[in-house]
Amino acid sequence: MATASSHVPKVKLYGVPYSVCTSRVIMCLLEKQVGYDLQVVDIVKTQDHKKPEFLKLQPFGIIPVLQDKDFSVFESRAIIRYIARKHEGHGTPLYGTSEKDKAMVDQWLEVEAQNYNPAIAPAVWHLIHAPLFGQQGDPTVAKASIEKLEKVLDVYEGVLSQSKYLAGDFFSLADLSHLPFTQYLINDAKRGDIFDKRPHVKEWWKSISTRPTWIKHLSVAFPGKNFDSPGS
Amino acid sequence: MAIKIYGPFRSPFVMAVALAIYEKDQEFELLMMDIKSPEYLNNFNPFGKIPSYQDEDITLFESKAIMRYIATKFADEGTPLLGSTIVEQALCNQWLEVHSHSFTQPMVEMARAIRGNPQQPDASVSKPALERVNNVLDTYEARLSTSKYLAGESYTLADITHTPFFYIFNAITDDENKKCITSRPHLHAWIQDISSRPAWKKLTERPENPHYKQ
Repeated sequence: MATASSHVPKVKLYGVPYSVCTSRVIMCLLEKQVGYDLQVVDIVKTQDHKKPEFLKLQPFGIIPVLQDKDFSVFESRAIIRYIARKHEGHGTPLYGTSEKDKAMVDQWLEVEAQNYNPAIAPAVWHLIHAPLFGQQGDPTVAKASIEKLEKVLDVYEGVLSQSKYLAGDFFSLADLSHLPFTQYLINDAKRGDIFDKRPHVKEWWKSISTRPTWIKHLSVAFPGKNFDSPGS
Repeated sequence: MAIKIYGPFRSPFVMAVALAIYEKDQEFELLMMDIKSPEYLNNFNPFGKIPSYQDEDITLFESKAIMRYIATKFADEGTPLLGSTIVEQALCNQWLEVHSHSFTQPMVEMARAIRGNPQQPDASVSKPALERVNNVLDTYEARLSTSKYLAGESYTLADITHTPFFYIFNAITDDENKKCITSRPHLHAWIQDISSRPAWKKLTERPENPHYKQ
């Protein structure tokens, strides 16, 4: 199969590889075999995302931003939709293969954005990232967030008992979108237990997190870091 | 009737789906169901939320997924809603995400404060909450000073998803809080444009509309 560099020019991605939203886009680029140049936007030390040059690209001061030739797009879930659509005939079919597949992918990607993300994000912030930004994590908020997440996972357990992945029996944008936050919760906050106690969710996580593309991204984003093998 | 929507009309998410259907020159039945009932959870939306959508081919939930499906299924009918190029479609999706992640929460927070104090709506919104709304609307003003609609020159789902929110905002605010809109000329003009579309007028004239006046 032709590699990305032989069929399409590289895109420019503004962000940092350890950021959840940038990771979401990088994973999609890897699955679609689209080459990219990473333009580092330091959100911790130099706070590049708050500077005027970046605000011109992204008025809310949030990474990532994708530049493809003469246009740029922000919001990671809009970026991955664009890449998946533009490179439909190449790499992993992240929208499935039928119109009904696409509708299910859109539904479950919205579920991730509207139900999963709001439940997991506070836990990851308060348990892992707050200190990086000079703030104190609140374990009470983290606990409430995990409780909310478990209710979402109860729904996922039911869905994943009927199909291998969220939108059907194919890996899609919807599953992909879950990888970055979940990785942090399981490997850094050591809360794999809430996934392991739901057998279909456990199987699904094992399947998506052992994809060679994800493993490759982790080795680049977190060089030298050990990750527990799921299902071991 | 082929298309069924489940949920109360007063929800801006229900209204957005309904508006997309009307823009596509289609009709729908608006129905209610107990969203916590096993029947609803098992057959429509396992998260117990509204809206849900059903036609002869599919059952869907999440308003933005439903809107995308409608825009694609009826691509050749009514108004095109996904932009005319892949770039416009990307920007349509971008502003749908902005609606979800940056717009909705500050607007809902402001609406809740106002509704919690109907005697003095203008006084009830906290300064930080008002600042959050104004910051978001600044970005919209900047965007709409460079293009007619959010995704570019084409009216798309990105605009549709906002129309009901501004309709409700207009209904519940007094003159002071309305300045969030009226002080921003491009934002104001865009809201007037999207709110004067025949499909939107048709929707607001449905008897289920709690703001409907004879």
